[in-house]
Amino acid sequence: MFVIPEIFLAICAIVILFITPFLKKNSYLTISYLSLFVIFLSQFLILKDIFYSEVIFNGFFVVDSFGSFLKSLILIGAGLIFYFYVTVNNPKSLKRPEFAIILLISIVGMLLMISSNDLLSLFMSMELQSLSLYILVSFSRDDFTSSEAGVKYFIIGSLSTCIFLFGTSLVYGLVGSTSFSEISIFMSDLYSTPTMLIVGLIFILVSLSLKISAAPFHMWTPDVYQGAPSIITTLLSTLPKIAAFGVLIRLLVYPFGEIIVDWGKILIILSISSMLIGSLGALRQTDLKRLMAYSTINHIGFILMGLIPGSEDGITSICIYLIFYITMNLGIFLFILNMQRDQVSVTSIKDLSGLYRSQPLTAGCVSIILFSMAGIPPMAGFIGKLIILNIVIDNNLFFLAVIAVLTSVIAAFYYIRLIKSIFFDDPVDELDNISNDHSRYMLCGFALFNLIVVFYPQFFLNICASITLSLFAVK
Amino acid sequence: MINLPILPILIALPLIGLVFIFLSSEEDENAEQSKKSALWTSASNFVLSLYLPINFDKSIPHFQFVNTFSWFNNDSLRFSLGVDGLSMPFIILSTFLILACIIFILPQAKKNMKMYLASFLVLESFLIGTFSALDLFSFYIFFESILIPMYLIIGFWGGERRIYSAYKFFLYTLLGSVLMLIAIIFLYQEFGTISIPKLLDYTLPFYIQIWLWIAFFSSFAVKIPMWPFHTWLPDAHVEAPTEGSVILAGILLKLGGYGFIRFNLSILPDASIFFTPFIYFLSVVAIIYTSYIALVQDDMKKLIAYSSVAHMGFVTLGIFSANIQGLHGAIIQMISHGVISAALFFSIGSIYNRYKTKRIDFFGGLNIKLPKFSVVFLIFTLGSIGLPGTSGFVGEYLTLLAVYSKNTMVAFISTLGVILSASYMLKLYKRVFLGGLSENLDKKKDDINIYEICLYVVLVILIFIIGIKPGLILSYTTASLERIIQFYPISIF
Repeated sequence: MFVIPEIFLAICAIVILFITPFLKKNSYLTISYLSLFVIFLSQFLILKDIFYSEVIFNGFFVVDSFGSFLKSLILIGAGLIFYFYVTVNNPKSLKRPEFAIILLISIVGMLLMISSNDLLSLFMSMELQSLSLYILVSFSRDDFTSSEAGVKYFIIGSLSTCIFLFGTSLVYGLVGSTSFSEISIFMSDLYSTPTMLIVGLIFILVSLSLKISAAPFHMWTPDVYQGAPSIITTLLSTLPKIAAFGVLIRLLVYPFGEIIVDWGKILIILSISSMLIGSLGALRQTDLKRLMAYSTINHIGFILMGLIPGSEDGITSICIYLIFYITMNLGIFLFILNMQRDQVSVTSIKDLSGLYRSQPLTAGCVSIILFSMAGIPPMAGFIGKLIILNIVIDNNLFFLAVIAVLTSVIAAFYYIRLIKSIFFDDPVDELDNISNDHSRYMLCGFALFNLIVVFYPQFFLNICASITLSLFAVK
Repeated sequence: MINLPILPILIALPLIGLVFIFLSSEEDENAEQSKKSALWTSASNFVLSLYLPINFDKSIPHFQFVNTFSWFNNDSLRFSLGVDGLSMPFIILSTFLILACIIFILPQAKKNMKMYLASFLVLESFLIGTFSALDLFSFYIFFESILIPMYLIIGFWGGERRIYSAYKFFLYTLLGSVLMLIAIIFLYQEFGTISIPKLLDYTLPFYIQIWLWIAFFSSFAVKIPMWPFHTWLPDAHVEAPTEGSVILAGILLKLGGYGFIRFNLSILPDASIFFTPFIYFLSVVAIIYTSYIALVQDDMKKLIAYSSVAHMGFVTLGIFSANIQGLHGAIIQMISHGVISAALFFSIGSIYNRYKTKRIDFFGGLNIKLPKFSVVFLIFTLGSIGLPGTSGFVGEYLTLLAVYSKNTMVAFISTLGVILSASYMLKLYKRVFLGGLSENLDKKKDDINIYEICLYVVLVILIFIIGIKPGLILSYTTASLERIIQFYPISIF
């Protein structure tokens, strides 16, 4: 009974699919509002069971409060993205009812990913999520860049799937089971780790790195982010990352927790290269969405550092960082969605120049969020970085901490460049004013959130600490 | 003593003033209403900050007016605010200089006046926060937050190359201070506390002290700034608007000196002794080298900026002499430099507002055009040189006295800096105010207005008061400073 939210969402998606043909031609808004309502309901279903913990379907899935927390975070994000979708001025190609349905299905995939307790169920749910995302990325089918991005994403995604299956087969060959609990039992009886198992784990890690776009497996990110419709880029940069991090944490902490020495080193390499590439790669970008792709890579590197010790505190800090990361990213993308000149979307950094002259309030909010992303106190991003660095230094990884702060200075350079354009440059060609009140208020809300977190970060720490407890209780 | 939460009030009041500024709907460049709210806010904040010296118990070396707030619900992670003799003068200096800046802004018109005033009020709040922070995290948060309003002030209202300078300022200081963040987190992990008063009771092993010292040094050396980390300062000063330069030279540089005393000297004594020759070397180079550079500048602001680096060289010499004269000298030098350099930048601002240039060779014989002003400027020049009777003299004299007791050679070389400072400052005065009237200055310009007269008279009085009776400040600081240096041997080498 604990998979009710997923089942409910899946059934609703199918029901909505069936009622679509019976609606009028221009029915995308109705469908979107319906989907928003469905997401709202499933949020309740998740929150109802947030403190339960149970393994279901013969160990195929697990429901615990860690998973439920990430799921509700995904649903909040999904709800906000739906809300963006219905309020902002979308390009014509996106105004189709299928959009909302495919989005719902991908969210079902993400939720299942988080609760997977078996490599096979993980594989299936990951495919469900990815396949829907491939369609969404190439949704503007008349647009050349969108189709190109879709093909790229599909090829890289299929490669990732192959690698994942290969790693799974290696693990299965050694353990004789794909269940996480079986693997965990197998691991705890071992005297020395077989090399093949580590190789298998590395393949799985590579596949998941492709999903979270950690360098050196980040190549697809900038192209796909730039090519995809902005609303999908918003989705790509937030929700799948939470889901993939949920899987990564569960996989590494629970079945492979015994060989932390081995995967810890891999994560160090991944996080250092992500932070370096994320900060250096962004320096010469001229497109805002492409820049946000590199910024994502940089943040992913930062989040990965929290996982290296594999401790409860580390995972708590990851959860907190994820919350802040999502609010920052959604805020920036809400602005990007509204960046239009003469009703046509533009995404170049140059278009930001002189924003302060025409829309001071929006400019202020965007700058607050950008300062937050750069990790300048007293914004939320700083608190997130502080908590993660605290974990890193607690585990005596000083070189990692030094690299992290130095790359965050480099990253600050490009965030500051955006703020420079907004405030100091003379406007070349002014953007349209953000006409809808929803977006304006939401933007203020995100900025305000980033400002006030510093006064009571304890709130987030309490929540995240209590939910990570469940992850370690299984052990 | 009434138990007034004075420090939180001082921090919050500018932010309340901010609300008033944004509530007024006026948009023009004068923004009279906003100017009035800013003036009232900063004036009342200055008056309120005088509560500190009045109720301050001079005999107690510990922190006073302590307020604690829970932050992370955990006993070791609490925000706390408080002052001791070391930080109190700087808080007064901050509130005073912000008030002075607001008064200086009053007769002017600028684009986006509301945001300009707002930046200064935010800056005031953060500055008081930095000087009164009693725990590492809130210190870091305030210390870093200052970058945001300052970046906007330089970048938005600055001169021609303002964007480059704003960048340089932001990234240089950020790069310096992120290493401090690591050191701060390390201290927290090591001792389980972030409270600065508690940290004073611990001693760390030498090899850890070395690394922490370097981390703190990297932050404060950029901020103060020491040679060779000073290159952001001339750019920032030249491009910043007058009031921005005043705050930059008057208070922001002092954050570096304050940090050196508060962290490097107090918490890491062994490493401080170890690194003293290194500091002496950098300070002496700063004093001599930047003085020579100041001699050849043809931009007035740049000249004062380089002279600031030289003066800060005396401060670091004094601090790391680690005896009571040295620290007293450093504090007086910082306060006096805060007043004098602020006065000089205001004066250059007055000149710039009239002639729209800061180039020295544009001027000549300005004393004919602006007679009252040239008298005031002469006093500031002499103060900067360190003429006996002015505040500059006390700081340099005490510092040199302290250094002489440690190392005669260093004292000898840095004394040359005093002579050099006389040569570049007098040269500046000669070229701008004396000599034949330059043909550029034909047009009639008003002599200084009433706002400027008020401001300059107060600054002149302050320079003489500190110069004649430095004990007024030192009586507050002595107890705290003695507590800091009690672990230091009488003679280092």
